[in-house]
Amino acid sequence: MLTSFKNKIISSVITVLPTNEVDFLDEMDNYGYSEVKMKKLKKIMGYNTRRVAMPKEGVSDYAIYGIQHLMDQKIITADEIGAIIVTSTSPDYFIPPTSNIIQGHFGISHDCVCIDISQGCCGYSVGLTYSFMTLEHLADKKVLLVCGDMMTAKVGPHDRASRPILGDAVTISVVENQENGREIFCDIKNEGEKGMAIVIPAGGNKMPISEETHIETMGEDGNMRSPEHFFMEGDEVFNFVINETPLMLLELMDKADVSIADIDAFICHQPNKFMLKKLAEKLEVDTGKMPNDIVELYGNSNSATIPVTLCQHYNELYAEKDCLKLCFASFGSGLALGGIILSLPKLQYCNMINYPHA
Amino acid sequence: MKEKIIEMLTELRPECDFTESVDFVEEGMLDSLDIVSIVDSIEETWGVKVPGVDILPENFSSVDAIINLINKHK
Repeated sequence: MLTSFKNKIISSVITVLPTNEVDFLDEMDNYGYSEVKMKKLKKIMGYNTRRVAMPKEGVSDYAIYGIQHLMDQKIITADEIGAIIVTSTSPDYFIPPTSNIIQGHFGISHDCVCIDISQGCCGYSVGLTYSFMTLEHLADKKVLLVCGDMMTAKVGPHDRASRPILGDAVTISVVENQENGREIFCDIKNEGEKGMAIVIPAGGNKMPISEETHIETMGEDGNMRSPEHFFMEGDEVFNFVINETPLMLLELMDKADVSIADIDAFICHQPNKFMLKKLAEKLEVDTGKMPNDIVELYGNSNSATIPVTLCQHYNELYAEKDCLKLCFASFGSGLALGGIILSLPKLQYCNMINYPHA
Repeated sequence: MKEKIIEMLTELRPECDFTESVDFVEEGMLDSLDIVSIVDSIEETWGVKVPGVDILPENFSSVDAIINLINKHK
Protein backbone atom coordinates (compact mmCIF):
# COMPACT_ATOMS: atom_id res chain seq x y z
CA MET A 1 0.00 0.00 0.00
CA LEU A 2 1.44 3.31 -1.13
CA THR A 3 -0.41 6.27 0.31
CA SER A 4 -0.13 9.62 2.03
CA PHE A 5 -1.68 11.46 4.95
CA LYS A 6 -2.04 15.11 5.82
CA ASN A 7 -2.20 17.01 9.07
CA LYS A 8 -0.66 14.36 11.30
CA ILE A 9 2.40 14.57 13.52
CA ILE A 10 4.58 12.57 15.90
CA SER A 11 4.80 14.93 18.87
CA SER A 12 6.79 12.90 21.45
CA VAL A 13 8.79 9.68 21.62
CA ILE A 14 10.12 7.83 24.66
CA THR A 15 12.24 4.66 24.86
CA VAL A 16 12.12 2.36 27.88
CA LEU A 17 15.12 0.04 28.13
CA PRO A 18 15.89 -2.79 30.54
CA THR A 19 18.49 -1.65 33.04
CA ASN A 20 19.99 -5.15 32.83
CA GLU A 21 22.87 -5.20 30.35
CA VAL A 22 24.60 -8.27 28.92
CA ASP A 23 28.10 -8.09 27.47
CA PHE A 24 28.93 -10.26 24.45
CA LEU A 25 32.39 -11.02 25.85
CA ASP A 26 30.76 -12.72 28.86
CA GLU A 27 28.69 -14.97 26.59
CA MET A 28 31.25 -15.79 23.90
CA ASP A 29 31.89 -19.28 25.27
CA ASN A 30 28.24 -20.24 24.62
CA TYR A 31 28.67 -20.24 20.89
CA GLY A 32 31.32 -22.83 20.08
CA TYR A 33 33.39 -20.61 17.79
CA SER A 34 37.05 -19.77 18.37
CA GLU A 35 37.84 -16.57 20.25
CA VAL A 36 39.51 -15.13 17.13
CA LYS A 37 36.41 -15.75 15.06
CA MET A 38 34.05 -14.38 17.71
CA LYS A 39 36.05 -11.17 18.04
CA LYS A 40 36.01 -10.73 14.28
CA LEU A 41 32.25 -11.20 14.19
CA LYS A 42 31.92 -8.77 17.10
CA LYS A 43 33.44 -6.07 14.93
CA ILE A 44 31.53 -6.93 11.76
CA MET A 45 28.07 -7.68 13.15
CA GLY A 46 28.08 -5.22 16.04
CA TYR A 47 28.04 -7.73 18.89
CA ASN A 48 28.69 -5.69 21.99
CA THR A 49 26.25 -4.94 24.79
CA ARG A 50 22.53 -5.53 24.72
CA ARG A 51 19.70 -4.78 27.13
CA VAL A 52 17.81 -7.83 28.32
CA ALA A 53 14.52 -7.85 30.21
CA MET A 54 14.20 -9.93 33.34
CA PRO A 55 12.00 -13.06 33.31
CA LYS A 56 8.24 -12.43 33.32
CA GLU A 57 8.62 -8.77 32.38
CA GLY A 58 6.22 -7.91 29.55
CA VAL A 59 5.72 -5.22 26.97
CA SER A 60 2.82 -3.80 29.02
CA ASP A 61 5.08 -3.32 32.07
CA TYR A 62 7.51 -1.18 30.11
CA ALA A 63 4.76 0.62 28.21
CA ILE A 64 2.92 1.52 31.42
CA TYR A 65 6.16 2.75 32.98
CA GLY A 66 6.89 4.90 29.92
CA ILE A 67 3.35 6.27 29.61
CA GLN A 68 3.31 7.14 33.33
CA HIS A 69 6.57 9.00 32.77
CA LEU A 70 4.94 10.96 29.92
CA MET A 71 2.01 11.78 32.18
CA ASP A 72 4.33 12.85 35.00
CA GLN A 73 6.11 15.15 32.53
CA LYS A 74 2.68 16.61 31.57
CA ILE A 75 3.13 15.43 27.97
CA ILE A 76 -0.17 13.58 27.86
CA THR A 77 -3.23 12.89 30.03
CA ALA A 78 -5.49 9.83 30.06
CA ASP A 79 -8.38 11.93 28.74
CA GLU A 80 -6.44 12.82 25.60
CA ILE A 81 -5.90 9.22 24.52
CA GLY A 82 -8.26 8.04 21.78
CA ALA A 83 -6.37 4.93 20.69
CA ILE A 84 -3.64 2.59 21.89
CA ILE A 85 -1.87 0.67 19.12
CA VAL A 86 0.70 -1.97 20.12
CA THR A 87 3.04 -3.53 17.55
CA SER A 88 4.93 -6.50 18.94
CA THR A 89 5.68 -10.17 18.39
CA SER A 90 5.94 -10.79 22.14
CA PRO A 91 2.50 -10.13 23.62
CA ASP A 92 1.95 -10.38 27.36
CA TYR A 93 -0.74 -13.03 26.73
CA PHE A 94 -2.57 -14.57 23.78
CA ILE A 95 -5.66 -13.00 25.36
CA PRO A 96 -6.27 -10.20 26.35
CA PRO A 97 -4.50 -7.87 23.92
CA THR A 98 -1.61 -5.90 25.42
CA SER A 99 -3.29 -2.64 24.35
CA ASN A 100 -6.31 -3.51 26.52
CA ILE A 101 -4.05 -4.18 29.51
CA ILE A 102 -2.54 -0.71 29.09
CA GLN A 103 -5.96 0.92 28.67
CA GLY A 104 -7.29 -0.81 31.78
CA HIS A 105 -4.31 0.19 33.89
CA PHE A 106 -4.79 3.90 33.27
CA GLY A 107 -8.60 3.85 33.33
CA ILE A 108 -8.73 5.33 29.84
CA SER A 109 -12.18 5.90 28.32
CA HIS A 110 -14.12 2.84 27.18
CA ASP A 111 -14.37 4.57 23.80
CA CYS A 112 -10.65 4.14 23.34
CA VAL A 113 -9.60 2.03 20.34
CA CYS A 114 -7.28 -0.81 21.37
CA ILE A 115 -5.37 -2.67 18.65
CA ASP A 116 -2.55 -5.20 18.89
CA ILE A 117 -0.66 -5.77 15.65
CA SER A 118 1.57 -8.82 15.39
CA GLN A 119 4.51 -7.27 13.61
CA GLY A 120 8.21 -7.27 14.39
CA CYS A 121 10.88 -5.56 12.34
CA CYS A 122 8.35 -3.39 10.45
CA GLY A 123 6.39 -2.62 13.59
CA TYR A 124 7.08 1.10 13.63
CA SER A 125 6.27 1.72 9.96
CA VAL A 126 3.13 -0.41 10.14
CA GLY A 127 2.11 0.99 13.52
CA LEU A 128 2.55 4.60 12.39
CA THR A 129 0.51 3.94 9.25
CA TYR A 130 -2.30 2.49 11.35
CA SER A 131 -1.96 5.44 13.75
CA PHE A 132 -2.43 7.92 10.90
CA MET A 133 -5.45 5.98 9.63
CA THR A 134 -7.01 5.85 13.10
CA LEU A 135 -6.43 9.57 13.65
CA GLU A 136 -8.80 10.28 10.76
CA HIS A 137 -11.58 9.36 13.20
CA LEU A 138 -10.26 10.76 16.47
CA ALA A 139 -10.62 14.55 16.08
CA ASP A 140 -8.51 16.04 18.89
CA LYS A 141 -7.75 12.75 20.62
CA LYS A 142 -4.28 11.22 20.35
CA VAL A 143 -2.82 7.82 19.54
CA LEU A 144 -0.29 6.14 21.80
CA LEU A 145 1.79 3.92 19.52
CA VAL A 146 3.60 1.29 21.59
CA CYS A 147 6.32 -0.53 19.65
CA GLY A 148 8.35 -3.05 21.58
CA ASP A 149 9.57 -6.58 21.92
CA MET A 150 11.03 -8.98 24.47
CA MET A 151 12.58 -11.41 21.98
CA THR A 152 15.60 -12.30 24.13
CA ALA A 153 13.36 -14.74 26.00
CA LYS A 154 12.63 -16.51 22.71
CA VAL A 155 16.14 -17.13 21.39
CA GLY A 156 18.22 -20.25 22.01
CA PRO A 157 21.09 -19.75 24.49
CA HIS A 158 23.58 -21.28 22.02
CA ASP A 159 22.25 -19.65 18.86
CA ARG A 160 25.26 -17.70 17.66
CA ALA A 161 23.37 -16.25 14.68
CA SER A 162 20.65 -14.54 16.71
CA ARG A 163 21.39 -14.42 20.43
CA PRO A 164 24.31 -11.97 20.31
CA ILE A 165 22.30 -9.33 18.43
CA LEU A 166 18.88 -9.42 20.07
CA GLY A 167 17.86 -6.97 22.78
CA ASP A 168 14.63 -5.83 24.43
CA ALA A 169 13.01 -2.39 24.45
CA VAL A 170 9.63 -0.71 24.38
CA THR A 171 8.92 2.69 22.88
CA ILE A 172 5.92 4.98 23.08
CA SER A 173 5.19 7.57 20.40
CA VAL A 174 2.45 10.17 20.77
CA VAL A 175 0.82 10.65 17.37
CA GLU A 176 -1.81 13.30 16.81
CA ASN A 177 -3.71 15.42 14.33
CA GLN A 178 -2.22 18.80 13.53
CA GLU A 179 -3.67 21.57 11.38
CA ASN A 180 -1.57 22.60 8.42
CA GLY A 181 0.72 19.62 8.89
CA ARG A 182 2.91 18.57 5.97
CA GLU A 183 2.14 15.52 3.89
CA ILE A 184 3.42 12.15 5.14
CA PHE A 185 4.12 9.34 2.68
CA CYS A 186 3.82 5.67 3.61
CA ASP A 187 4.59 2.43 1.77
CA ILE A 188 3.90 -1.02 3.20
CA LYS A 189 4.65 -4.21 1.28
CA ASN A 190 4.28 -7.86 2.15
CA GLU A 191 5.80 -11.02 0.69
CA GLY A 192 4.00 -13.66 2.73
CA GLU A 193 5.23 -16.45 0.47
CA LYS A 194 8.61 -15.93 2.19
CA GLY A 195 7.06 -15.57 5.62
CA MET A 196 8.51 -18.72 7.16
CA ALA A 197 12.04 -17.32 6.68
CA ILE A 198 11.61 -15.69 10.11
CA VAL A 199 9.69 -17.90 12.49
CA ILE A 200 9.11 -19.18 16.00
CA PRO A 201 7.55 -22.55 15.09
CA ALA A 202 6.03 -23.63 18.43
CA GLY A 203 3.58 -21.96 20.78
CA GLY A 204 0.63 -21.37 18.49
CA ASN A 205 -2.04 -23.73 17.21
CA LYS A 206 0.10 -25.15 14.38
CA MET A 207 2.61 -26.55 16.92
CA PRO A 208 1.40 -26.43 20.53
CA ILE A 209 3.95 -26.48 23.34
CA SER A 210 4.85 -30.05 24.38
CA GLU A 211 7.72 -32.04 25.87
CA GLU A 212 9.07 -32.40 22.33
CA THR A 213 9.08 -28.68 21.56
CA HIS A 214 11.37 -28.03 24.55
CA ILE A 215 14.14 -30.17 23.03
CA GLU A 216 17.04 -28.34 21.40
CA THR A 217 18.59 -29.92 18.31
CA MET A 218 21.34 -28.96 15.88
CA GLY A 219 19.90 -27.14 12.87
CA GLU A 220 21.22 -27.23 9.32
CA ASP A 221 22.89 -23.91 10.03
CA GLY A 222 24.96 -25.47 12.83
CA ASN A 223 23.01 -23.73 15.60
CA MET A 224 21.29 -25.38 18.56
CA ARG A 225 17.70 -24.41 19.09
CA SER A 226 14.28 -25.82 19.89
CA PRO A 227 11.01 -25.21 18.02
CA GLU A 228 10.16 -22.70 20.77
CA HIS A 229 13.09 -20.54 19.71
CA PHE A 230 13.41 -17.80 17.12
CA PHE A 231 14.83 -18.91 13.77
CA MET A 232 15.82 -16.90 10.71
CA GLU A 233 16.99 -18.08 7.28
CA GLY A 234 19.87 -15.62 7.15
CA ASP A 235 20.61 -15.86 3.42
CA GLU A 236 16.99 -15.45 2.33
CA VAL A 237 16.33 -12.52 4.64
CA PHE A 238 19.56 -10.78 3.67
CA ASN A 239 18.76 -11.11 -0.04
CA PHE A 240 15.21 -9.86 0.59
CA VAL A 241 16.47 -6.78 2.42
CA ILE A 242 19.20 -5.93 -0.08
CA ASN A 243 17.04 -6.45 -3.17
CA GLU A 244 13.56 -5.33 -2.11
CA THR A 245 14.18 -2.46 0.31
CA PRO A 246 15.79 -0.16 -2.28
CA LEU A 247 12.90 -0.79 -4.69
CA MET A 248 10.34 0.11 -2.02
CA LEU A 249 12.24 3.24 -1.04
CA LEU A 250 12.59 4.37 -4.65
CA GLU A 251 8.83 3.99 -5.10
CA LEU A 252 8.23 5.91 -1.87
CA MET A 253 10.65 8.72 -2.76
CA ASP A 254 9.03 9.02 -6.18
CA LYS A 255 5.60 9.42 -4.52
CA ALA A 256 7.04 12.00 -2.14
CA ASP A 257 8.87 13.71 -5.00
CA VAL A 258 12.18 13.65 -3.14
CA SER A 259 15.63 12.28 -3.87
CA ILE A 260 18.13 10.65 -1.51
CA ALA A 261 19.93 13.99 -1.29
CA ASP A 262 16.76 15.64 0.05
CA ILE A 263 16.56 13.26 3.00
CA ASP A 264 18.33 14.54 6.12
CA ALA A 265 18.55 11.10 7.74
CA PHE A 266 17.52 7.50 7.11
CA ILE A 267 16.32 6.04 10.39
CA CYS A 268 16.24 2.31 9.68
CA HIS A 269 15.37 -0.85 11.51
CA GLN A 270 18.64 -2.13 13.04
CA PRO A 271 19.02 -5.86 12.24
CA ASN A 272 22.81 -6.03 12.58
CA LYS A 273 25.70 -3.77 11.68
CA PHE A 274 26.73 -5.70 8.54
CA MET A 275 23.29 -5.80 6.91
CA LEU A 276 22.69 -2.10 7.43
CA LYS A 277 26.15 -1.22 6.09
CA LYS A 278 25.44 -3.17 2.91
CA LEU A 279 22.02 -1.55 2.56
CA ALA A 280 23.60 1.91 2.85
CA GLU A 281 26.10 0.95 0.14
CA LYS A 282 23.30 -0.29 -2.13
CA LEU A 283 21.33 2.92 -1.66
CA GLU A 284 24.51 5.00 -1.99
CA VAL A 285 23.64 6.75 1.24
CA ASP A 286 26.45 8.29 3.23
CA THR A 287 26.84 6.32 6.46
CA GLY A 288 26.66 9.62 8.34
CA LYS A 289 23.03 9.88 7.23
CA MET A 290 22.11 6.36 8.35
CA PRO A 291 22.83 5.69 12.05
CA ASN A 292 24.00 2.10 12.51
CA ASP A 293 24.98 1.66 16.16
CA ILE A 294 21.89 0.50 18.01
CA VAL A 295 22.78 -3.22 17.87
CA GLU A 296 26.14 -2.44 19.50
CA LEU A 297 24.57 -0.28 22.19
CA TYR A 298 21.31 -2.02 23.07
CA GLY A 299 20.71 -4.93 20.68
CA ASN A 300 18.11 -5.40 17.97
CA SER A 301 14.79 -4.82 19.72
CA ASN A 302 12.68 -5.66 16.68
CA SER A 303 9.70 -3.28 16.36
CA ALA A 304 11.32 -0.71 18.65
CA THR A 305 14.57 -0.09 16.78
CA ILE A 306 13.47 2.90 14.70
CA PRO A 307 12.22 4.99 17.66
CA VAL A 308 15.20 3.79 19.73
CA THR A 309 17.49 5.11 16.99
CA LEU A 310 15.60 8.39 16.85
CA CYS A 311 15.85 8.84 20.63
CA GLN A 312 19.53 7.86 20.73
CA HIS A 313 20.51 10.33 17.98
CA TYR A 314 17.90 13.02 18.59
CA ASN A 315 20.22 15.75 19.87
CA GLU A 316 22.77 15.42 17.08
CA LEU A 317 20.05 15.11 14.41
CA TYR A 318 18.36 18.34 15.48
CA ALA A 319 21.57 20.22 16.37
CA GLU A 320 21.31 22.59 13.43
CA LYS A 321 17.75 22.32 12.12
CA ASP A 322 14.35 22.60 13.75
CA CYS A 323 12.65 20.40 11.18
CA LEU A 324 14.10 17.38 9.38
CA LYS A 325 13.07 15.43 6.30
CA LEU A 326 13.31 11.87 7.60
CA CYS A 327 12.89 8.47 6.01
CA PHE A 328 11.97 5.57 8.30
CA ALA A 329 12.76 2.24 6.62
CA SER A 330 12.00 -1.19 8.01
CA PHE A 331 12.24 -4.74 6.70
CA GLY A 332 11.89 -8.19 8.17
CA SER A 333 9.33 -10.56 9.60
CA GLY A 334 6.37 -11.32 7.33
CA LEU A 335 8.41 -10.87 5.19
CA ALA A 336 7.43 -7.22 5.10
CA LEU A 337 8.78 -3.82 4.15
CA GLY A 338 7.73 -0.47 5.51
CA GLY A 339 8.77 3.03 4.55
CA ILE A 340 7.70 6.46 5.75
CA ILE A 341 8.89 9.87 4.55
CA LEU A 342 7.91 12.85 6.66
CA SER A 343 9.01 16.30 7.70
CA LEU A 344 9.39 16.01 11.46
CA PRO A 345 9.80 19.14 13.58
CA LYS A 346 11.57 19.02 16.92
CA LEU A 347 9.65 16.83 19.31
CA GLN A 348 7.83 18.18 22.33
CA TYR A 349 9.55 15.44 24.34
CA CYS A 350 12.16 12.80 23.52
CA ASN A 351 13.94 10.69 26.11
CA MET A 352 15.40 7.30 26.97
CA ILE A 353 14.75 5.86 30.42
CA ASN A 354 15.67 2.60 32.17
CA TYR A 355 13.06 0.24 33.54
CA PRO A 356 13.57 -0.41 37.26
CA HIS A 357 13.57 -4.20 37.60
CA ALA A 358 11.96 -5.59 40.74
CA MET B 1 45.66 -14.73 -4.37
CA LYS B 2 44.70 -18.43 -4.20
CA GLU B 3 47.08 -19.15 -1.33
CA LYS B 4 45.90 -16.09 0.56
CA ILE B 5 42.27 -17.17 0.21
CA ILE B 6 43.00 -20.72 1.40
CA GLU B 7 44.91 -19.25 4.34
CA MET B 8 41.92 -17.00 5.13
CA LEU B 9 39.46 -19.91 4.97
CA THR B 10 41.66 -22.19 7.08
CA GLU B 11 42.02 -19.52 9.75
CA LEU B 12 38.23 -19.27 9.83
CA ARG B 13 37.63 -23.03 9.89
CA PRO B 14 40.86 -24.84 10.85
CA GLU B 15 38.98 -28.14 11.07
CA CYS B 16 38.12 -28.11 7.34
CA ASP B 17 40.24 -29.03 4.29
CA PHE B 18 39.49 -26.42 1.64
CA THR B 19 41.76 -28.06 -0.94
CA GLU B 20 39.55 -31.14 -1.24
CA SER B 21 35.98 -29.84 -1.21
CA VAL B 22 33.74 -29.38 -4.26
CA ASP B 23 31.29 -26.92 -2.68
CA PHE B 24 32.17 -25.24 0.62
CA VAL B 25 28.60 -24.12 1.36
CA GLU B 26 26.71 -27.23 0.24
CA GLU B 27 29.08 -29.41 2.24
CA GLY B 28 28.50 -27.33 5.37
CA MET B 29 32.06 -26.06 5.65
CA LEU B 30 30.97 -22.42 5.54
CA ASP B 31 27.86 -20.94 7.13
CA SER B 32 26.35 -17.47 6.69
CA LEU B 33 28.47 -15.96 9.48
CA ASP B 34 31.59 -17.36 7.81
CA ILE B 35 30.54 -15.70 4.56
CA VAL B 36 30.16 -12.38 6.39
CA SER B 37 33.69 -12.80 7.80
CA ILE B 38 35.07 -13.64 4.36
CA VAL B 39 33.45 -10.56 2.83
CA ASP B 40 35.03 -8.39 5.53
CA SER B 41 38.45 -9.99 4.95
CA ILE B 42 38.18 -9.60 1.17
CA GLU B 43 37.30 -5.93 1.52
CA GLU B 44 40.17 -5.29 3.94
CA THR B 45 42.79 -7.31 2.08
CA TRP B 46 42.07 -6.33 -1.51
CA GLY B 47 40.41 -2.93 -0.99
CA VAL B 48 37.25 -3.89 -2.87
CA LYS B 49 33.60 -3.41 -1.95
CA VAL B 50 31.49 -6.55 -2.23
CA PRO B 51 27.93 -5.40 -2.96
CA GLY B 52 25.14 -7.03 -1.00
CA VAL B 53 23.57 -8.48 -4.16
CA ASP B 54 26.72 -10.58 -4.70
CA ILE B 55 26.71 -12.05 -1.20
CA LEU B 56 25.26 -15.33 -2.44
CA PRO B 57 26.30 -18.87 -1.43
CA GLU B 58 27.44 -19.71 -4.98
CA ASN B 59 30.03 -16.91 -4.87
CA PHE B 60 31.70 -18.55 -1.86
CA SER B 61 31.38 -22.19 -2.91
CA SER B 62 35.03 -22.60 -3.99
CA VAL B 63 38.35 -20.78 -4.06
CA ASP B 64 37.82 -20.04 -7.77
CA ALA B 65 34.37 -18.58 -7.06
CA ILE B 66 35.87 -16.27 -4.42
CA ILE B 67 38.67 -15.24 -6.80
CA ASN B 68 36.07 -14.43 -9.48
CA LEU B 69 34.13 -12.36 -6.97
CA ILE B 70 37.20 -10.33 -6.02
CA ASN B 71 38.22 -9.77 -9.64
CA LYS B 72 34.69 -8.68 -10.56
CA HIS B 73 34.90 -5.78 -8.15
CA LYS B 74 38.51 -4.73 -8.47
